[in-house]
Amino acid sequence: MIGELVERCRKGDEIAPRVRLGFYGYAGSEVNWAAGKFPADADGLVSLVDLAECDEEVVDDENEIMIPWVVGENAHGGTPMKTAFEQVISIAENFAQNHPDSFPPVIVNITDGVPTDCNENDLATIVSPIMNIATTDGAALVFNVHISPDESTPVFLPSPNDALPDEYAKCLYAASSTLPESLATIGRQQHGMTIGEDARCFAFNADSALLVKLLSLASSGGGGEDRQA
Amino acid sequence: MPSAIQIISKLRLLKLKIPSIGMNPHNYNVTPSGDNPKRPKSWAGNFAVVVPSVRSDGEQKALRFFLAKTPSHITQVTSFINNNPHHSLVKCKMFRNTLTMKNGETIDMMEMDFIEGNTLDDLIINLLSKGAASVLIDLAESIRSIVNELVTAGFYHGDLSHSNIMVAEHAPGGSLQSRIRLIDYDSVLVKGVQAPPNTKEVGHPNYQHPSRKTSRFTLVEDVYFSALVIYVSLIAISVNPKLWESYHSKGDNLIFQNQRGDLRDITSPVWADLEKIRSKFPSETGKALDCLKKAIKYPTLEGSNFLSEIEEWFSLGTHIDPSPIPIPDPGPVDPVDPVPPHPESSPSPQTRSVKTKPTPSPKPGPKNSPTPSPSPQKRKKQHSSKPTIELSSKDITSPEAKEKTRKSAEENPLKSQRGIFQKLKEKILPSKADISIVTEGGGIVEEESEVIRPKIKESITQPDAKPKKRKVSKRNKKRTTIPVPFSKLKDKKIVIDGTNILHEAGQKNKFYLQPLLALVEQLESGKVESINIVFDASTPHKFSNKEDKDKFNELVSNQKERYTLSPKSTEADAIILNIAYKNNALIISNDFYQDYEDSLPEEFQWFSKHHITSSQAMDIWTLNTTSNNEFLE
Repeated sequence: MIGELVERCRKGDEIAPRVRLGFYGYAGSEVNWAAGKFPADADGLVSLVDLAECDEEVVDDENEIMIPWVVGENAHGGTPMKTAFEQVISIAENFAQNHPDSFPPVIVNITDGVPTDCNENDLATIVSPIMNIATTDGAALVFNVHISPDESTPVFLPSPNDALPDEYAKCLYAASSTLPESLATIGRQQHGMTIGEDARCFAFNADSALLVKLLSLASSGGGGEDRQA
Repeated sequence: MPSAIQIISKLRLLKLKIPSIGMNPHNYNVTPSGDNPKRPKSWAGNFAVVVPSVRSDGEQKALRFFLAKTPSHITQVTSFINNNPHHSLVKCKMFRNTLTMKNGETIDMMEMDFIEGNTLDDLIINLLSKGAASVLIDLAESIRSIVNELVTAGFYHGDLSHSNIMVAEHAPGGSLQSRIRLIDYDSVLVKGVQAPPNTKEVGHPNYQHPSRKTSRFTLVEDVYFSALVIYVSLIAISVNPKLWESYHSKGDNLIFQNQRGDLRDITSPVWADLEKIRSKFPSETGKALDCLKKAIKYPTLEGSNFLSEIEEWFSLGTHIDPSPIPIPDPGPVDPVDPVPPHPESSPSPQTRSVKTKPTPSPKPGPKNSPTPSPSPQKRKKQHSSKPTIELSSKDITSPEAKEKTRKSAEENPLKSQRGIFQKLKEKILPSKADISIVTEGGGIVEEESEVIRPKIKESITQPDAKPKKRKVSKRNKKRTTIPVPFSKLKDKKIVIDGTNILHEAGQKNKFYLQPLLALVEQLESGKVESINIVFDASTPHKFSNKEDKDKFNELVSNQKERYTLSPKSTEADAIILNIAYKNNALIISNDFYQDYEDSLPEEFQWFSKHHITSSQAMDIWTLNTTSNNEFLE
């Protein structure tokens, strides 16, 4: 996703300063900045212009893509989702206040586990303040992506009547924004996705390919304005 | 759909060398980035990645790779440009399937002339640094003229912005106007497009009226609105260069910015500053500012008074005479006429490489501006000294004529012009009425006489003059398309560009067999004599599912007389042209085979007069052709 954003914002030998990103990782009981080499600014974000300097790359041979290596692997221990959301809420609020006409902040929560610092039933309540953050372009969006290494049947951008595999999936579903029509259109037309009515920004039991798909959708809004992930 | 990083990665894996593919005899060395010699220098937007390159014959070319499905109307756009050359439009050629991704997906490439020069914003920076802000007035006027000419010719750019207007460093003639180039044709709409192009482009947000939506495609109002934003910005910066420092964000805008709400209402700070300098706008250019102000207040431009208001001043100079223009029939016209090597020498509506100096004359208008710089009104007349059509210079240069000009512009048909633009719109997007020109008996009405042509200046400079008969060169004649009823194909031999049809009906380059079979069925019910369908060698690998693929392979092996798969490394296009020529068959394809004009001249000639295009909706196919096709007679 980062590599794609960088390429999309490249104008000759320069990068248009259109996007700012935040990377926060679960580590034990804490939530820490996860893009080690690229420090966060006072707003808790980093500009894409800085990320474009990244000279460490990994080559995804399967897809013949050279991916900038920005976020180090540091996940361990618990999944303090409540802490993470609360931290991100303040960053998103601050961003929306300072950029009232920008594309609204987009928050993507990627996890392979259940929250360790709150009840999963409370997630929707914890997340709800984010839904109230808005710019003139709409409300902030929360994407939840649950990744699973096994071959459980994945759920991708489910609509209200779609079946969900378990209670936890229902909790995460409830804590995800409804996908705006503009993004649904992009998803259908540019990414060839099957997206129903009122689909939620949510994937469950996703594999890496689905994760990439959802990330590319999450980052395709706004037509080059400020975003946050 | 490929991503930008996939394309960039692919070019890096190719070590920045694009080999000669298919019928493209050239290979390319992609220009490396200034920071990293291993990666290409690139520009990207939401719809394409563009890289500069050097072609094997030494020519510099810009290569455009489409991120989404190649816009369905792009061939029509490139054909339009080739058939209606204008110095501001860049020649371009489509090459299919140039890059092949790891997953088998292929990417089309558009080769364009490389423009060495500055984008509009960079040029402004240069000019301001040299203290040459006054040049911006000439620049604004030049852009205004070009936009008007293109609109009149039936070319709606749809994404005019600081980054899509370039000023070439070197150009014949050397005048500023002759150096201006418009690039990025993704949201272009051209006359003759039958079906609305499936483009979701809505242009750069800092140049659009709030009512511009993805749900519709480019309107003439959109083009004029963006042009007005640019025009007003340039004049304003020339009056007060400090506006540039205050309101320009690098690479993002001129002085208006959507995010600040500058194009939503007129209360933002930039408007307060513009108000302060309104009286300093030279001559009548302030009217453009007023017009923009008004336009922003309209909830939607479509159907508003915007068009009539912009016509009152901004678009003046390219008014079209509302009376029908008799056009002598120059005989059959090749719909894919060869492109002249020098667009400058063509009879397109742009022949202003030599400018006459404005004759000093007393300004009859009430605003006798003390500004020594040429006023737009003067420039307008000055432009008319080199119009498209034959017009003796004495008509324009005499003070009397100028007096007449102004009078006619004042008294004359500004209101009625609204109808002309409406008409022009209808020409670009054929309405149902256009489609109904197929008569009951299946006969087709010649549409050529309805082609709207710029009647530049004549109505202004010679209000009393009767419409002149004008010479219309073969090349200048526009291609119009008309529907072909299937019954018209009775007893004809048909060759179908199978891969093209699958592509047309497929999704995201994933082919489905059913639409093709539906076309065959429709043709059979029209009692055609024979159908021959030719496919690219790679076609079997592009089906969306195994079932279709198997069925396809079965057809190709069991019905050889109808289904032909090209051998590997042989272009199906050449086979199609050859079969059609040898068998006197009609060709169904949305490709224009421009690349074979030189290599297969006779076959190409045949093709150009026996070409049918197709479009599909809900498994029902509609066929079209250009009006000069021989088989219609």
